[in-house]
Amino acid sequence: MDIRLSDRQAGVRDRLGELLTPDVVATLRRLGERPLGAGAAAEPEPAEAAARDSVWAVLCELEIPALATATDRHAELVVAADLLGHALYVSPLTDHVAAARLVRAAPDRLGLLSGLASGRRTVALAVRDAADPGPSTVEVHGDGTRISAHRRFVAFAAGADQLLVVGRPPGDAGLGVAVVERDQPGVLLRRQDDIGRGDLYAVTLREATVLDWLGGSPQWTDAPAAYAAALRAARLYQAAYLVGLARGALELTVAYVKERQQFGQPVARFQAPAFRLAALHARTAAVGDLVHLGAWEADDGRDFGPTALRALLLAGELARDASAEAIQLHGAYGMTERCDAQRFYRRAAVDAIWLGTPGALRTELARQLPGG
Amino acid sequence: MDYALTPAQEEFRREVRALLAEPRVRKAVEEIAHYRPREEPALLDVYRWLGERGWLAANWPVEYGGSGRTVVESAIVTEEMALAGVPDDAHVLSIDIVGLFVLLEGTPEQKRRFLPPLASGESIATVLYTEPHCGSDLAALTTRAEPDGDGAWRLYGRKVYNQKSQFGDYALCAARTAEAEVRFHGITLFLVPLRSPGVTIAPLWSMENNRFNEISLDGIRLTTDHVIGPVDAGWQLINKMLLLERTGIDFHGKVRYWFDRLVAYAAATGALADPVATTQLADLDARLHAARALAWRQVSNLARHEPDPVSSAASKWYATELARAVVRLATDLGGLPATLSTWDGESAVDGVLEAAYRTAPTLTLASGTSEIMLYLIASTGLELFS
Repeated sequence: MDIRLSDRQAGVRDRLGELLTPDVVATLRRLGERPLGAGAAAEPEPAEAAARDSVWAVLCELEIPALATATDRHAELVVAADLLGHALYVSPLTDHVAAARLVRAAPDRLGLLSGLASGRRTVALAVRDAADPGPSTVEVHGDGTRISAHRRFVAFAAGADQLLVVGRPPGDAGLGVAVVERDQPGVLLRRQDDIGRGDLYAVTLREATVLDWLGGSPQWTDAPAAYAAALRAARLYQAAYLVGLARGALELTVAYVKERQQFGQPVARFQAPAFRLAALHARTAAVGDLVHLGAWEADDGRDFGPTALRALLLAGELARDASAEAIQLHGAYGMTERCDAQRFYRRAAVDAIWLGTPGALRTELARQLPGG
Repeated sequence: MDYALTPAQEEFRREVRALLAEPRVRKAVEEIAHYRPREEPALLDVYRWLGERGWLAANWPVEYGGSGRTVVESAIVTEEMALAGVPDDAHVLSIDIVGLFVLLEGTPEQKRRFLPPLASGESIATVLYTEPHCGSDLAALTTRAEPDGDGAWRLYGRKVYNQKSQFGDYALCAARTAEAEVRFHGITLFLVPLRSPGVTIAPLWSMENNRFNEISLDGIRLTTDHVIGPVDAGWQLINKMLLLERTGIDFHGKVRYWFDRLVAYAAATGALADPVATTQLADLDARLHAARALAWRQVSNLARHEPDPVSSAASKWYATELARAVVRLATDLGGLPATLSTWDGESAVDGVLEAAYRTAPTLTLASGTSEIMLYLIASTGLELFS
């Protein structure tokens, strides 16, 4: 037992740390954010798009996508996820974590994995038409060469090379994963105007051409297990990201209350806010350690699903609490566009429930109680 | 991060768990649950059974009755005792607090004299820190040690909220040996023989099963042999030791034991069919797992001799705050039967949940209150007050 960052984990921290300087983090937190109510036709500013591409290129150089797609480097991955959450950096990495697990479960006939690992190829998971992260239906045409489906909450669909459409044929108990070229006439995108003002899309597939089915068929026997594995790994990644987000919101607030003077002294000196921040710090430490435990279990070949689920439940709650507290302790300034507190607050609303609402996660956990 | 116990440590955990699962231990735990009012566990046989194997103070050297293992094995014993429902208050006081002081700060003679009876489970040592007006402000203590020639001292003062001294042989007592401008200076630690003229132990009855004691020190004479560590340096020692004692392992284990009993009760009564109940339980279960992860980080820090005061404060705060949530949920889900005591005869889970409800406040008060933990994090960790 040695519960501290391993050399490899410290390596990830140090390499990313060189990129994520305070100035860069300040930029990243605003990168790709659309104006309030920008609606469906909200292309990112060209300069922003270029900046985003260059950040992605650096992450690829640092082999972060390779971490996301590996199955034995969770310990390093959660360190990276934490730092990216701290920087509020939005990216297709969550989907890459899940996509890699799906692709690995079947012969990789399209050679997707190497592109995902290098970061040269980006994919977006198109899974749900509803709030629940579970797969919605998909209509299969002909002998499986074309599909029609509607999907919402597809992250970074506009920039993706391919969509992985996870779905259940109507009336069929089976599950399939179709690989679909994003740039084709049968794929229509509409940007969703979400509270995070980011890159979520509604995707309509109308007899879109299928490049391939993972597992070779729309009824892939291993699909439920592969999807469960994908969700497990994505949840662990997301939990780490949310802990980082909470840490970022907390650090922002701690710095502010030390400077902000009220009643002739820094706000930090008042016990009411100080103790609330201390409690958030303690919760961040505990939930962060649960994430690390889950990563260790994963790399040690253990069943890390329950730990990932617990960590995600607690990290989502923590991220929302820390970001709400950030606004409260910044005062009205925290709500202004100039202050990042409101960014943490808005993004946490989406990221905390991205892979399941607290109610859904608790219900799933409840089934694992002895006698539950 | 490596959370793996070594194969030897895994085996040690299995052996400890096996001992604690023996019928004689289960019988003792059940008997304790049915103790008469105002009766409480003292020197339990199970301590002696652990002591015989050198497990009660597993990380102490063999010559002092331990088995020369590490703090990891020591934490395993503490955790397993708590998870098995074996009362650990006397163990924590004797081994983890007083014994640790003697082990790290005592003279060779003091170690030879005081440690073996504690490690074998044949003697209890307790702590005399706080006083009626002190609370968390320990440096305000007024118990005084007056020089009495030949390096001897006489102690005068009143200590409160002490536990287990009615069964104890010695108590670690903080007394003022010098008046100083800085009130943290001039405090010295003494090992006070409790069965002596000049020491009066009286109960301060509380709602909990374990009684508090009020202890009057009326001029008991102590020699240099009774002084632990340097004279006037007690404050520094207390703070150093608090850091070594405060992992959260014991607190988490205790709350987990209550929680597991609650889940078992809910399963037995059909309450798990209620999705509201199960989701509340699942939520607390997740938090307990987080508490445990953070507590084991403290053990790992200690094993490397790198205790972290902020992290250990976070661990203590996080684990103990769950106590309140668990006992509240126990009465919410258990309903009125969970409020019946063991003496009623129709209580839920032998009155364990009712007793837990009365005990829970001690967790957020003992070993540094929740507010002191938050103060430590806010001041030392976040540097908010500088």
